Amino acid sequence: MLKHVGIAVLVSTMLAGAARADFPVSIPHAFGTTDVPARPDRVVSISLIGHDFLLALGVTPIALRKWYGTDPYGVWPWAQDDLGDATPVVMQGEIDVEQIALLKPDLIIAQWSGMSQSEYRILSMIAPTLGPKPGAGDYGTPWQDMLRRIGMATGTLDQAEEIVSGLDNRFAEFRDSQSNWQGTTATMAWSGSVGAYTRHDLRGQFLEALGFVIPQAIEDLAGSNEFYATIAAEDYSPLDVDALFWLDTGGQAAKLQALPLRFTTRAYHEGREIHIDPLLSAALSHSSPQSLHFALDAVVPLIEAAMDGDPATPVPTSLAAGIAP
Amino acid sequence: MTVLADPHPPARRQRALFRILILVAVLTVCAIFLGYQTRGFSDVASAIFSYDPTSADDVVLRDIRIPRIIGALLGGAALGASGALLQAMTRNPLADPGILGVNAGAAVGVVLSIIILGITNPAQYVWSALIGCAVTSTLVFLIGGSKNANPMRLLIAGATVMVVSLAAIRAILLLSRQTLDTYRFWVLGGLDGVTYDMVLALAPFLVAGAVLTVVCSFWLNALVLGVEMARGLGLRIWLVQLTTLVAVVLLCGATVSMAGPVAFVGLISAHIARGFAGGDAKWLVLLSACLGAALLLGADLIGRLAMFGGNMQAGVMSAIIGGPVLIWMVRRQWPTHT
Repeated sequence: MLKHVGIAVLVSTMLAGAARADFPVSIPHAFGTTDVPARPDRVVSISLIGHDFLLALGVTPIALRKWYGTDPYGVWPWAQDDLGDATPVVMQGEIDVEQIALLKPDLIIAQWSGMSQSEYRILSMIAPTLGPKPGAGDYGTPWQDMLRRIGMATGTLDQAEEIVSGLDNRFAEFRDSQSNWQGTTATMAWSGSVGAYTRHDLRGQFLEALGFVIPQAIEDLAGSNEFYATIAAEDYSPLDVDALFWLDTGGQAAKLQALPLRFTTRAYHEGREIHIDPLLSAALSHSSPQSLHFALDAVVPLIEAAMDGDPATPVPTSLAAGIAP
Repeated sequence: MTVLADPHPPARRQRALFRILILVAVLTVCAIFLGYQTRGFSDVASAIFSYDPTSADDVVLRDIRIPRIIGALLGGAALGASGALLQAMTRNPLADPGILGVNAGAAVGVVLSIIILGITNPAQYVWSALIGCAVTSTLVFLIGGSKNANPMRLLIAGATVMVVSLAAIRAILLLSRQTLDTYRFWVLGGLDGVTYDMVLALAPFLVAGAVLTVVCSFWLNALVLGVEMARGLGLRIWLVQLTTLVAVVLLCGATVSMAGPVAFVGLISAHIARGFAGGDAKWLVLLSACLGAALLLGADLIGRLAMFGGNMQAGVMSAIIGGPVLIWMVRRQWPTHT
């Protein structure tokens, strides 16, 4: 009995310890190891999507890097509530070291930023700088890991774990409810000069979380650790998939209609193409806790319409974009 | 008068023309059969005589390869002729369509049409590129043209307009990711996306440009003898310059709107042609046009091969091929002056 109480006390002490998020913490990343000495309160995010992650954890960055979109802060609808009335400094374009130094940050979030080794060297002199996960590539750290690592650096690991398990459960529920598609193929592509994301990209990882498999042909075309593959104009066989997602960052339906080979693909004839409008494209490109909930709400009905393989039930967004057969 | 002594006898030029035409023919045949995957005679026959729009093989041949071949031949010839015209007019071996701000002007047109009009369909860039070309070239002529007929002024005006245009483009692109996404593929210069409709729409410009080219090349022959001599023969220098520029704008404008700003073809074709044509502007333009067609066709063909991923832009490939050739020519002391 006493022994059991002892264990219970021990466990609760450990849990309390985790919740207190002991500082200093050391986090390894692609350019070395970053030590955060104390809970930061002046966090600058130069990650193009990092502000979503910080806001999800209840940390409002003092400055963020706007990626694109019409919002003055570069914060998309799914994270507006989390932003609230905050007015962070907005950075845009290349990484501006001088501006960052003037902000006197005590933590710089630089996963998914394209930061170079030399930029890291300078930034890490200004404040502890969190680079991408070792071995994941600039844009390849899975969102779960990005969130956990930001959680560790800001003392919000518990919230991060809670969010991760909530979303992972939602993906698992989806996979269970659609068990007949599990293991079928899908790819997330874009038009113009056609390319497709691999499993080393957040958008590829989204497809895998839904239970789809990215064709090996696309992984082979891209080579190891590359986050996208370019598709030859004369050979669309890598796009022969059960669900073909076309990302549209604005007005790209006309480009899709100008691809002669597209009209010979199985995905086109069987109504398996899913047009992803600019808002949903942005949600998938952010792959943040908030945007993934948003994306799942929107994309599930579209996948259902595509996966029946029946052109008589067109995917609503593809029909609206004028690309349905 | 040593000027009139011709070190390039007609037989040599004709031989060169004949060989270049054979090269173009061979490349055309190769471009039909070779690509990401090699096709046989039966595939080609089926694509032509029993075309099936649902067959990927037929579509590749008829809707991708053949329009690209036509586009490469026309665009390459237009760039080659323009390069020769400009070099003959300015008597400067560095002149090429790019240096007159033609490409930069087209790029400004494309960027503005993306950001202001929201146009994202590459087929519609044709018109914005053409208008951009015309506006910048007019500007260059207004700034740099003069009764003194000093071609140096034109070149400097062209270089200035080009630099300012490119700076404006960079500034716009920094602000708009969507424009950047679309622009960065266009700016490499390539023939993917060329359709029969596009070629037909641009044909009138190319034909008009070709007619003016023929007229100019006769006049430029007189100009090659020197400004004073040409004046003595009754030529109006400004008229020669203006006609040449209009021809170049028509030819390059049509090409750049179809294939994006393809680098280098105009410059290098004219250089190679000079080795055969000597000081004769007519032959220079003709040979340069044929060489340009061969170079762009070859570049597009190589770019379509699987070893380059099947998607290497012809604009990139023509510079990769053209660069070493130009270095070789310089080291061999290939004639650079007329």
